Amino acid sequence: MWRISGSGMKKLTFSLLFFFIFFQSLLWAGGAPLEIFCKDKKVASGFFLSPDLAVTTDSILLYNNIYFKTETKTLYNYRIEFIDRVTKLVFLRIKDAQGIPMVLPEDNILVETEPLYIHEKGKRVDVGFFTRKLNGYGAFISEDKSLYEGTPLYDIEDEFAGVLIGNLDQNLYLFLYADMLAFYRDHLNMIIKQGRPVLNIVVTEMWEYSGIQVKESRNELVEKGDIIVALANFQINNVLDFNRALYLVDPASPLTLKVIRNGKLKRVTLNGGK
Amino acid sequence: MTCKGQPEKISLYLDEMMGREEKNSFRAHLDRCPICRSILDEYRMIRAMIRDVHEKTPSDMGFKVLNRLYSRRQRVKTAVFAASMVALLGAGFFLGNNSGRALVASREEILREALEKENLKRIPVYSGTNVEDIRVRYEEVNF
Repeated sequence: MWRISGSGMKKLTFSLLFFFIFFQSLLWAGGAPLEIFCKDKKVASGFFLSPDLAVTTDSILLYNNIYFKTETKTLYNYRIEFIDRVTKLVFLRIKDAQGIPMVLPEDNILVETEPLYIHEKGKRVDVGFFTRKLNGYGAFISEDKSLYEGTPLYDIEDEFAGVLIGNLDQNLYLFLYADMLAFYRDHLNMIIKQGRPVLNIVVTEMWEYSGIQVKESRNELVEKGDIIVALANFQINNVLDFNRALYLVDPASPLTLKVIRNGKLKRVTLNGGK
Repeated sequence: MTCKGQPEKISLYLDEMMGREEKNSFRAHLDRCPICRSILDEYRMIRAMIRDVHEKTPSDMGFKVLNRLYSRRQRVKTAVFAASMVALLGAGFFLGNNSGRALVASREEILREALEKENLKRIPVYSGTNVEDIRVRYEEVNF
């Protein structure tokens, strides 16, 4: 039987604590944070989807001469790979970044009132709590007034929950779920190369109902007031669904829309047009 | 008869600690002295009783009892040590998971308050310096 002296006990205690803190840091969902600065002022956050591909929001386009800080580096050379104005996401190829890609869970179901966290200066900080899924977005309540767009949010188990994209109302914020990020990560090359069909319509989100409503149309087959509920084989519940579905169809092929017009479901086939 | 009993010598005699001459001399004294003989008989009887007790209780029993007591004490010590380690790790885990700012009010209170606030007038666009008000974005989306 081994015995532990007083000093030995102290050493063991500190060793265990150190080991535990170290182990916990390893359990974090990867994805070293990326901070975006302009003139020494932080303007947004982001994270890496691959060692040199980072994602943030389009608010950075308001600034000139931005630069990036990771935990170990300051980076200046970048190019904008892709901007999606619907989701607000901006994808950047950053030279010599060697970032740690975020681990995106396939399915992350958040429970109402589940707390959400951010990683700030190596610490996990409680910033609010999830309330509900809202038109494809996650909605959460926060009283933190120092949140930055593009900040990755983590759930109670420290898994990636989504990326903060903006404020909807008072203390209500929206974030994009991990599956949306995974979609762009996996299809970005195809999206850039292929683009999406141009329909010449303006739609509006129907916050309380499924589907999206046509607000203006310069397309002769689509009328103002139509509610789009399906595109090709994809069900459309919100603007995000419509946006994603358009990236997945062939822009050169005829496109089938299901719309509710005057209370009746109607099928409309549009000619392709890039 | 002047002997009042010589218990020290009797003990030495019983323990076979005397030399031959001294032993013979003491035996001669015992033949003459009834007091020393009675003391000798008493000592022998006590020794017989002790031997009897020893035969009924194995010699290693005391050791076993002590060993068991020691083991039990060690087990308690080990259990206390293990419990301390678990408590320490638990405290580390708890502190590690809950470091940072904590909400003072309960979640239910915050939720209720937030839901009440939703009925109030909406704050203007770009209310915050870091986060855009995005509701207007989805009122007109071009495709």
